[in-house]
Amino acid sequence: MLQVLKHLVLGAVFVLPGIASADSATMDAALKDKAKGMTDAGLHYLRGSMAEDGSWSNSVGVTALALRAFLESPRGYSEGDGAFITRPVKFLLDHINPDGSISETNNNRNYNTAVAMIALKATNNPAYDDIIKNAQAFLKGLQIDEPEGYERDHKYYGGIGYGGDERPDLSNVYHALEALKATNLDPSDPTWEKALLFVSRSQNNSETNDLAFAANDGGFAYMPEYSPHGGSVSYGSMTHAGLLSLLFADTDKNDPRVKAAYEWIRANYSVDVNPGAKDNQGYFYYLNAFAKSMYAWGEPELVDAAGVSHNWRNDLTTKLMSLEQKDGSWVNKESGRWWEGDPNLCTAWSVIALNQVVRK
Amino acid sequence: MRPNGAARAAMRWSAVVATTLAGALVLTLLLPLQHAPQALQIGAAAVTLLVGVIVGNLACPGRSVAAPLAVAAQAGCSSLVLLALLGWSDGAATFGSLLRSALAVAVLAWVMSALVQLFARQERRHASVSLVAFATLVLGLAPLWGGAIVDAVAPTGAGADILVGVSPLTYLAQAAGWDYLRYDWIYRVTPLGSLRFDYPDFWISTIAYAALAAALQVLAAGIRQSVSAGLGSAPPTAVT
Repeated sequence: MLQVLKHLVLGAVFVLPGIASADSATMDAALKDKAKGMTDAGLHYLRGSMAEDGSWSNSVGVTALALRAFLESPRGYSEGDGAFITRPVKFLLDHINPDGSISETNNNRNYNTAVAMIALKATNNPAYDDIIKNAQAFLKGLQIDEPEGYERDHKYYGGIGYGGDERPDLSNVYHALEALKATNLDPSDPTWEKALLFVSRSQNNSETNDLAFAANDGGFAYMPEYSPHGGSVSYGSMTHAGLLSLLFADTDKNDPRVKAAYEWIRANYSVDVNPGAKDNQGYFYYLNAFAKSMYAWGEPELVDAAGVSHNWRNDLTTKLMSLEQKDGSWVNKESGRWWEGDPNLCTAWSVIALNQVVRK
Repeated sequence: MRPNGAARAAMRWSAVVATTLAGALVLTLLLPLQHAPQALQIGAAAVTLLVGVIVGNLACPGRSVAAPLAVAAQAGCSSLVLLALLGWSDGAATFGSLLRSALAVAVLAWVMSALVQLFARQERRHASVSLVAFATLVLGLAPLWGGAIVDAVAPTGAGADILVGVSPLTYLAQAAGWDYLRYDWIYRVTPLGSLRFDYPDFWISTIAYAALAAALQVLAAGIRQSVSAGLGSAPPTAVT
């Protein structure tokens, strides 16, 4: 017994400082506390803005994102913690459709289903396994491929759209892939390979993009041949979404597409704006994708193209502190595009981003 | 002089044939939309609607004014024929969606013809038809030209819903079950697809448009009666 105690004490003496130093190397300790505090404040805001039926903004998508913010927070909330978790879960379950989608509308079925899958998975409740499996099948069915009459040489091939049309885009693909990854879709499923074709064609990288119009800065556009910010210009939110999509599909860090995307991020590093986007459109979406891709990349610091080192956790926390409203929420005051005039959505995006900051 | 029944029937059916042929002709212009069968479907519906209303209202002889319900039935039949041919050749559209599209065309044609009847005076019938067709086009394309305004003025308010809701194009798209604001070309033209909006339910829109048409028709009949009573002459005859 004494021997065991001795080993434990010795282990603590040698190991704990190591953990502490690794933690402090990750980010500034005071800022980490601030990040946790902002997370709590954001979640407090969301608890207050939840509707009677357990929804936020009467939307499956916003509800699922807010729910995910709770479930992945450092507090580790679960369904056992009460109605503020079970009611939004019920709202999602109430919007399951016969086709497997989870959505209150026909028009955003991909987004809604994808984020609802992630939230349900984050509950760790096996009761939702069949629902998630059906939702996986639904998302796979949305993919543009041969049954829709598209061949591999078509620029839409492998893409996924909103669900009410056949026009795919990288944002919808990224959300679908994140959901499929989070819910453990078989890595050998052909969905991944087809999606990668679309993702690659959305990248401005002539080395790996077989479409003639590809520019060559390594960043990503909204879809092949189109960016809402002009031409097929690369921009931050889509480049982080593109990088994440590549990583979800288990693409190696040495893959030329991944390296090119990372180089674009180095050249356009910012937490102040969504680089390349007009009027800072989609800024909170950008910060969310930025946090997830930086966490997935696994490095505490990023050296930009000018050689300046950035601790992304410190930078993101500091920026979100400056943007936080008095009530603990966030909102995009520069542009309402992509629903960012809705504080419920921006707060959910921000808290999920902060969860990446403080995540081990 | 009023045409006899056979002549009226001949004119009515020739209007259906003319509308279908004109619609088929214009559809060849929509071939770039071949990768979006639903786009082709609402394109065909929109064409038969406009052509049907114009032909149906101008084909009436003499002093007569076309009965809105008759024009609606003609336009609905034309669109059903054209949509069925389109659906058969394409194989993508369901029978239900074709029927909904034809119904939408008929209901919108009823509204438009009731408006024509409301404004029409004998000597200004062509102008009334042109005005109503133009107004429908402007309203139908409102999401395209008004999207940037809503985005600039009130991107988070009800503006997007109103703009989407009042457009007859939305109604035709809902009949086809198509999220048209996210369609590649339209998404590039208007920012509306990136704002929050909800499409109105197809059946609620159908009831609303039908109620509007009925109200306009009653109003037009009342105005005609009061005008003829004031002038002491016979009102323009409605072809039934």
